[in-house]
Amino acid sequence: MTNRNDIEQLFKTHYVQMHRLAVALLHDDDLARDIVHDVFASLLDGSHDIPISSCYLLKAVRNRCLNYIRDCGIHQRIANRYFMENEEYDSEDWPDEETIARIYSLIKSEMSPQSRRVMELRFSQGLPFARIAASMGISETAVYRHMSHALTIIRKKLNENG
Amino acid sequence: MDKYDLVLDIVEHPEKYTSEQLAEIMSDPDTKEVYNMLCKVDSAIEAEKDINVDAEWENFSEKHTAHSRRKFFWIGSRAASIAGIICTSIVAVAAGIAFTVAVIEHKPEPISEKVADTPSVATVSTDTLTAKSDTVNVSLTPILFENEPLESILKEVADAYGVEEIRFNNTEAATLHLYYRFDPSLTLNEVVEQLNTFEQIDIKLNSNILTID
Repeated sequence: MTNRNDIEQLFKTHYVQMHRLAVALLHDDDLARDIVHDVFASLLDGSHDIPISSCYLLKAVRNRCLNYIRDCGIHQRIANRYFMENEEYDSEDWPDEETIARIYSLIKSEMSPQSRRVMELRFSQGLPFARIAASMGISETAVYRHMSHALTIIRKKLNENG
Repeated sequence: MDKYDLVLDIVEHPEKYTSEQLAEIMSDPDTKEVYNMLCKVDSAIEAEKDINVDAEWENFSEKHTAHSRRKFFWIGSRAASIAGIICTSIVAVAAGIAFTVAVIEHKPEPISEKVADTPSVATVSTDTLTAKSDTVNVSLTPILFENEPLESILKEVADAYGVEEIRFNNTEAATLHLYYRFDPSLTLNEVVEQLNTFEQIDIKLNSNILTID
């Protein structure tokens, strides 16, 4: 049986991890928040005899995210940077913390400050290339160049390390 | 355009491509690999965001307070609630009208919670509908509601007649579960009259607003 205090404790213990997973899958803060809230709301709704583990909660988040992605058409998938097939999330075992940490350290160590800025503006803040170009005072072509350069390096380094 | 630029371009401007074109671009394994990597880079960058868990809890808690309190009441006294359903199940035969109804008081609600639970005036807006009162603008096939809360029945009715607003001054009535055959070929006044034959229901129709007391 879950009561409100239990839920509060579960929430405070697992929220960060759940939200992180949802963001890694959906690339959208608000959507990620809604999905995590939805998981906790479902706990409020029912009586749960099974003990609620971190594993259960993460699985619930993952399932909801993948259901959301499943309903996206090809344009929406690409615009939001989702894999083309839902099966790839399992076959690529994604998101995986090790790869995330590796990519992140590559961005920190191998990128020029400008490339890093471009990537942060694009992915973390969701700005379109035109706005990034305007805010950094560079051309849109230069934004493309920074991005493709960064992706080339990351891909090369990731493949080198197997 | 090299593969990286192509991938960046479809992500930036997917609307420039047709579904077929996108599928074809992605059918190249190399391009797909670059694309998948871009997806992963995005995830990696976004995963580093800071979150204020306490603020999130406040936010969640606020949104779900009313809802959850009612639920816990329900869970906490399930036995009592079941007994309540049996005791208060009434089968009413509305005189003169050929339908039989069962009114089930779904669950007892403590009075003290009502204020916190729902605003005293719950409004359902049907702003997309412009039809005038008493004008049927949907199909004339009768709709059978089986054990549905009055609230959803009235929403359906309101939709059918273009009623602008439903005001629930009596939240208990909103949760009453009914068996009701709604016949859209009747006028709105007749439907209200039918529903008012239930003892616990008192609906008034005033200038395109349904008020439930």
